This record gives sequence, C-alpha cells and structure tokens, in this order.
Amino acid sequence: MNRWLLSILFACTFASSTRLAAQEIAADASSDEPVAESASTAEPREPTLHDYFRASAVNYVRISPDGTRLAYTDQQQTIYVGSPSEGFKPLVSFDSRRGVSQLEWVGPSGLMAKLVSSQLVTRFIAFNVAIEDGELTAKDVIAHQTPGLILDALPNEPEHVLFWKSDVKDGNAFASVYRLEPFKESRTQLGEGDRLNKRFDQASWFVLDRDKKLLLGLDTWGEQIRLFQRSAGGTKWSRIWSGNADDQFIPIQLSRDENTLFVLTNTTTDRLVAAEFDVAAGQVSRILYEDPVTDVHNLLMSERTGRPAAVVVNRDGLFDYVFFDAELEQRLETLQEQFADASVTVTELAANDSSAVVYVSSDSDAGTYHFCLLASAQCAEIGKARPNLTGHGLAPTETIEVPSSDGFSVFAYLTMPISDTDDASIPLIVMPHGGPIGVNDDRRYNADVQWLARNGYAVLRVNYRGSSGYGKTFLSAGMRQWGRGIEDDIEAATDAALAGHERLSGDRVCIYGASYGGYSALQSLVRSPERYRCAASFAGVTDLPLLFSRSVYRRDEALRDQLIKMVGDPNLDVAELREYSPVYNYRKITKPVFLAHGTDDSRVDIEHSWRLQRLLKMTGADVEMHDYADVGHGFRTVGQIEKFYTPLLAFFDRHLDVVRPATQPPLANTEPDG
Amino acid sequence: MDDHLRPATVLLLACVSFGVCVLSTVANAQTRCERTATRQITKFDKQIAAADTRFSERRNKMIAAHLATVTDPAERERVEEAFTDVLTPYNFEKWLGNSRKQKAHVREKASDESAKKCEIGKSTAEFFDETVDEYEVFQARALDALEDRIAIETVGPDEGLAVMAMYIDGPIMRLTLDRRGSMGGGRLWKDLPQGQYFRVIKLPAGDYQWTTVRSMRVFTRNLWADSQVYYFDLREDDLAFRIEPGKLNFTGVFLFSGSAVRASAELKDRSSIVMRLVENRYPDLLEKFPVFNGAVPDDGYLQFFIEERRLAAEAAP
Repeated sequence: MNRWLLSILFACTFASSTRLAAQEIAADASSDEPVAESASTAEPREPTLHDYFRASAVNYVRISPDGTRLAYTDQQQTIYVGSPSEGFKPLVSFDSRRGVSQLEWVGPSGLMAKLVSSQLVTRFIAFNVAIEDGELTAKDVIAHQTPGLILDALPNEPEHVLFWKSDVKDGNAFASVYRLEPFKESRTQLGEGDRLNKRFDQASWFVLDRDKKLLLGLDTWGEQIRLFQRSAGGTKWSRIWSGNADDQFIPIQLSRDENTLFVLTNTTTDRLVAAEFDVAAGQVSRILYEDPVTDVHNLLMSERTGRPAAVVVNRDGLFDYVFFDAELEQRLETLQEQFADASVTVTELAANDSSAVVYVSSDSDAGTYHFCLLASAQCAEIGKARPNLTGHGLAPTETIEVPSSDGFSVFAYLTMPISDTDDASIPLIVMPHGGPIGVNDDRRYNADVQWLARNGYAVLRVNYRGSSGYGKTFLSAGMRQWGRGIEDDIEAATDAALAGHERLSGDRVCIYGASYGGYSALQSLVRSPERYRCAASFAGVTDLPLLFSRSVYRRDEALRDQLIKMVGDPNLDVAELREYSPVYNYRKITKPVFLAHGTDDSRVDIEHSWRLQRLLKMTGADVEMHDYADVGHGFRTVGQIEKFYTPLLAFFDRHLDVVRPATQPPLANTEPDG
Repeated sequence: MDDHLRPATVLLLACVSFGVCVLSTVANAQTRCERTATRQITKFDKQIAAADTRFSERRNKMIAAHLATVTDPAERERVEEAFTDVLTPYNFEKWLGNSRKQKAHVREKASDESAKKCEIGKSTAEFFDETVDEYEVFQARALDALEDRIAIETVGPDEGLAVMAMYIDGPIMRLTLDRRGSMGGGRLWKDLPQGQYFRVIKLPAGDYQWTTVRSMRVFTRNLWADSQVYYFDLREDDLAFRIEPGKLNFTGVFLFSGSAVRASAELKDRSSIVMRLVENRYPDLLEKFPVFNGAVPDDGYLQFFIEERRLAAEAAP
C-alpha cells in the first residue's frame, strides 16, 4: 500500500475528531431553519451551540455549463437551484439519513448528486432542471444504486458521464472507470461492458486526454508510485515513471497539447510543489512554484488558457494565491478590494474564467458564498454558511511562530475571546490537534474554537512537528514523538502565547483535545503537571500498546508497519510505549481529568478511557468519565455535541475559576436536540 | 284497559323494555369484559407463580447438591455468596415490570365504560401466554448461568476458566466457538439475546476461535415474512483466544452486529471493562485464580492493574 496514502489514512485514524466536532454535521440539521437566511431578515438573538456546530447552510456550489444558474445543497439534504437575482428554489430533498457528498452538472440542465447514508451506502440521483409554468422544477428524477463518484461530466457529451469506482482486492484498491448514461435507466450495478479500463487494472486514479479518453493511470498501492500511459490509439499501457511510495504525486490536469501533466508533488523536494511533468520524458521537468514555508495546497487551473492560473498556499493560516496568470490576478485583486481584509477563496472558476464562485470569510463573517462576474468585478451573495452567526462577530485568531528546540519553525494559532471588559486574566485552553501525523490546524472557521471563545476562553492550537503542510522533514519529525518532541512544541508555543499576551493568565491553563489531542492532553499532565490546572480528553489514546490490539492491525501488515513507524514497535519497544502511556503513569496525574468516549469508537476503543479512569479512581484522583452511546470517533449530530460540551464547559469553569452570573449559563442553548 | 290504548301501551312498554335491555346488555358486556380480564390475569399470575416455584425448586436443588460436597463453613459461605452474585443480574421483579403495566392496562380497558366493545380477548390472552413463555426462557437462562457457576467450582488440571463477554446487536440463533486442532471442546450458544452476555465458563485448555454465526437478516419490520437465515463465517477474522489451565482467562469482548446490509464481528481487548464485571459478579474467582489475558497475551494492562490494586489495598488505612 502506498505510504503517503497510508499516512493520510492514519491521519484520519487518530484525528477524525481533530476539529473535534466541527465536522460536517448533516444528520440533525434543523429542518425548520431557512437556508441562506439573510442578515437583514434574521431576528437578532444570542447564538447557540447549534448555530456554531451545525453544518454549513451552503455546500457544493456549482455553476451550470451555460453559466446562468447555480446549484448547491444546504446541510446536505436539499438541492437548491437558481441564481442570486432570481432566488434559489429547493428542487430535491432527501431524508436526514442521507447526505450529499458530490454534486455536478451533467449535460446542459442535468444535475447528479452522490448520496451517502449514515451506514455508508452510496447512491446517485440524477434529474433535469426544467421550467414549468414559469417555475423551476426537477424532472426525470432517476436513482442509481452504486458506489463510486462522478469523474467527469463530459460537457461535450451531454448524455454521458464518466464514473469512477474503486474495488479492493487483496488489500489493494483498483479503480475502474465507466461510461454511463445517467438518464437512460436506473443502475444497480456497473457492467463490464461499460468499463473503459478492461485491460488495465493497476491504477487507482486516471487522467483523461482532451477527448476524455483514459490516457494516464496512477498506481499508488504498490511499493512505489507508478504512472502508466496508454499507447496512442491503443489499449496497451506502459509504465512511464515510478517514484518513492512515501512521496506524493497528485495529477491535476493535462496541458492542451497533452505533453505536460500539471501536478503537485514532493518527489524531488521536501515540500509539496506545483510542477510540470513531461509525459514523453517521464519526469518532473519544471517546478512552477515552491513555497519557502508550506506545502502548496492546490493548483487553480484556468479554463481560458488550460494552464495553471495560480497556486493556493497556506499563508498565515489562511489560503492565499500566487498567480501565474496576470489577467486573473488583476481580476481577483479587484475583487478582493470589495471584501477588504476578508479572505477570498475561489471555489469554482467557469466560463473561460469570466465567472467564479468565491467563499469570503473573516473575523466578522463565518463564511459567505458569492457568485462573481470577474470582468466587471460584480458579486452577488449566494448564501451564508452560518446565517445565525451573522452580526455576532467571531473571536479573532492570530498566528504565532515559535522556534522549536531543534530548529523547526512551529506555527500556532491563538484565538482570543471577544470581551466587553478589560479582563486582566483570561483563561487559556491549549487544544492540540489529532493525528498526530499528517493533520494540521489553520485559521479558518472552527466551531470548537469559536464556541470555547464564545464562552470566554482563549484557545491555542499548535501545528507541532508531524503536522501536515510544512514538508516531509517536518512531517517525519513527528514520528515516535508521542509525549516527547510533539509536546515540547506545544509547550514552546504555549510559552510564546503567554509571553506575548499579558491578558492571558499563565496560572489558568487547561489542555484539551480529541484522539491524539486527548492523548497529548493527558500525557501533558504526566510530564508537566505544573503547567496545567486540568486536562480533558475525547476519544483519547491512553495506552500505546493497546493500539496494536485492534484486530485490523493484527491482520494488516502494512497498517501495522505504519503504526509502528508512528508510535513504536509493541514487540521491541514495549517499555518505551508504556513509558509514554498515561495509563502506566497514572500516579503522576494529580490534576483533574475529564474523559469522554463514544461506545462505538472503532479507531480508539472506549477501553482506553476506561483503563485510565479505573486506575485514577483507585488513587482518589479528581476524574470524571462520560460515555456516549451511538458515538464513534467523532460526533454525528449537534445534539451529541451539546451533550458533550455541557459537562465539559462546566469542568473548565470549575477548574479555571470562571464564575458566570446566573443569567449567563455556560451553554446559552435554547434549541432542542437535533 | 281501553283497547284503543293497547297498541300505544304495548309500544311504550316495548320501548322501556328494549331500553332496559340495551342498558342491561352494555352493563353485562362490561362485567363480562372485566370477568374475562380478571380470569386472564389470574391465570397469568398463577402461571408466573408456578414458574417461580419450579425455578426455586430447581435452583435450590442445584445449590443443595453442590453444597452437599462442601464441608468447610467458610467455603460454604463463599459458594453461597458466589451463587447469589451470579444470579443477581437475573432480576425477575424487574423483568416482570412490563407485564405489571400490561395487567393494569388490561384492567383499565376492561372497566372502561365508554368503550363500545370489549377489547379483552384472544390477543390479550396470547400476550399473557407469550409473556409466561418468555419468562420461563429468562428463568432457564438464570439456571443455565447457575449451572455454569456450579460447574466452575471444580476445575480439572487441563481446564481453565473463560470469561466470556459478548455484545450482540442483531439476532443470533447459533454461535460457534471451536477449539483449534480438536474435534471437541468447543461450545455452542443458541438463541443469544440482544445486548450484553457475560458469563464465566469452564473450557479445556487450548486455542479457541469464534467460527460461525447463524443469524437472520431482517429486511423489514415484518420479522417473519421478510427475514432470511444467514451463516457468517468468522474463521478469517482472527477472533481467537487462548485458555490456559488453572487460570481465569479473559477472552476479549466478542461484538456482533448484524443488519439487513451487513454483519460484522470483532474481538476487542476490553480488559478493564471486563474486570469491572468480574469484580462485581465473580469476586471470589479473582482471589482463587491467576488472571491471564487470553485474547491479547502480550497486553500487560491486567497484571499492572491487579498489582496496582493490591498496592492500593495495602496502602489503604
């Protein structure tokens, strides 16, 4: 199995709750709340936890092929179609057990949506958008019950789409691409007759040529990454390049002459760069952009030129652009002027770069989608991601750069609460992210952070060694640093935050996180009890050898090897694993502990929290344990999040001496469970 | 009486008489309804009482047969406590709580004067009969647990105690545990109830594996019309553990989840959770037998916990 794919998998393994609960919460989106509620019509009221954690009210905004209409989903249960001028109309709705995870225009007026149920069963819905009696309506609705995703909507062949599906065989994933007619008949399975890569089963991803034929195939599951090319006009596939499986090679798009593949890769560099790959020579021929600090996040392709228009980089915790296309740069700069200091992100570029969907966010805006005509720099609002936060402001976040003990630059984000008073002592919650390898925090909207800040806490998040986005060396520096270098970085960042902010109270600090972040919080009490008043863990690892007890790691050698690289070998290094396990150091934990765990957590079993709880109770330590039925490695509903945060905030209030007036409970919630 | 008045008088008398008849019919029906309810409830109570008597007799006989072999008073006390502990989860009073509610509901329905017809009949009688059947199954499970508890009082030199913990989400008709390399020595569970199963049993020393589940995939709410029986082969799922002789072997927690879409089984190392159950229900076994984690032998937590608990007990004033 490809190692960087594995690292992504692992990142997910111990990090799904990194943004603890700020994941897409679809299942209990309140149906009575209008989507894209405008600020002017909304009755001002104190925002609730639900307002912070509910999924974005606008998702998957797509411009129609003729550029006249837009489609989007709300909290992923209803598809809206329309335009900012004529308004948006809900055309198709799904029950709350299913959420949209892909939305594409197919043909001039068709839409196709991928739906995933809570049990991860996939189906697709296709329908045509028509006008009847002057009203937009959905016609020809047809369902396909098959897994996969829409690879290409084939704009020049309105009857067809290319469909990608992955099958796992002997532990390896093999992709198949099918040519389907989404409006012809309902499909429950994909036939061999529709498969385009019948004689090539080795790829996990494909690149299309200008005729939308499969030209390049990428195999990321072997000992090496391998790129294959189909022979001209034929069906024979030959390997044209191979690279280290630990590296990344992400194809973006072929040039129009099909000689160059634009990629993001780190095969020849430490950080992920935007590069040109010479197809004939089978090698990276030119680096288009390498950032001095961070990995390149994405490549924005110009529809007008067919070439990269800009790279997207992480600058100061927000997305920023470095342009190759001067015309587009000038247009987007003009656009930016309208939004002052807000962050403007292009989510879709269409109609020969003449129109775009942009997402605008700032400390006073939790995110608004706009449809913009770039030539005239005219934008119209599509909708707000979190309409109920409008007018309430968000707690501002600043970036802190700290040198680590061994020469790295570590970036951290400090969010200070909005306060009407000059409170000289603001309590701080240090919140390490999960992972620990291959995950990072940034300055964009984060519900956990904003909710804690709303309740009066400053929050510090640290991109410690091992975090993604800063190159291979920084990433691998986090390996086997559980309870060691990683926590050194967290402590260095905490010191810097306290030193730079007199209002932060150094003696009122707790540490809290999920998954690896939960581990880090607990182990921090072991190694540096003097720094913290308390620690809180959700789905936290407490016993490192126990990680290897999961049957999936016992069976799958590749997964096990990756876990060993990340944590240590349970056969050779068991003493070391125990040395850095909160369970085996429980006697050193003298500060109050809050443990929370889902009973259905298949990544970090609830046994982890139980073990520590049982031991701590023997010592008479101040420990409280909360288990949540039907909760896995993260929360699915806002109601679950609320049940978690209610005791958690009470715990922080108690141990950080936060006294609230009776009229201001820590959880200003007025809504029923979702 | 004047002949001209006769028809009217007859009609009046008939009306009065008919009205009385109607009222009388309603009243009689109501009384009949209450009588039916009382009869059904009385029968049910008698059946439950009879089941309780049979249960008590069997339980007492089983316990007495074992106690006859124990002469040491302290040991007798330990055994009696142990048997009480193992039966504690089988709370008959709690189990019957729902039927008490149903009885009250039946009485209320039977005495409802506004009801147009008596709703107490065949369906309520069937409910009470089914409840008695289910109650007897529940009692049988309690006796089965007691039988297992008595059985583990004597452990042979080639035998070990197995702490069996399961969590079942979905119907299991048969669950098979096989002893590797042996034609016998395994165990078969039938009709496992939904939810938690916890028991200490005696098994020959050796390596074991959960091998097959016979279950039902339920496609709709109409269980019998739309369900199908399926076998799930677990042999490739690495759901194995070892039983060491003379030890209290933790075998992990067997988790089964079956639905119309898929079924899955897992064996989880939940030593601390299982230890809590053992402490509550089999405390004497922890005194008598060394503990071994048969599901994950290299997991050092159990030994660490036991040692820490011992130190804590020693340090306690």
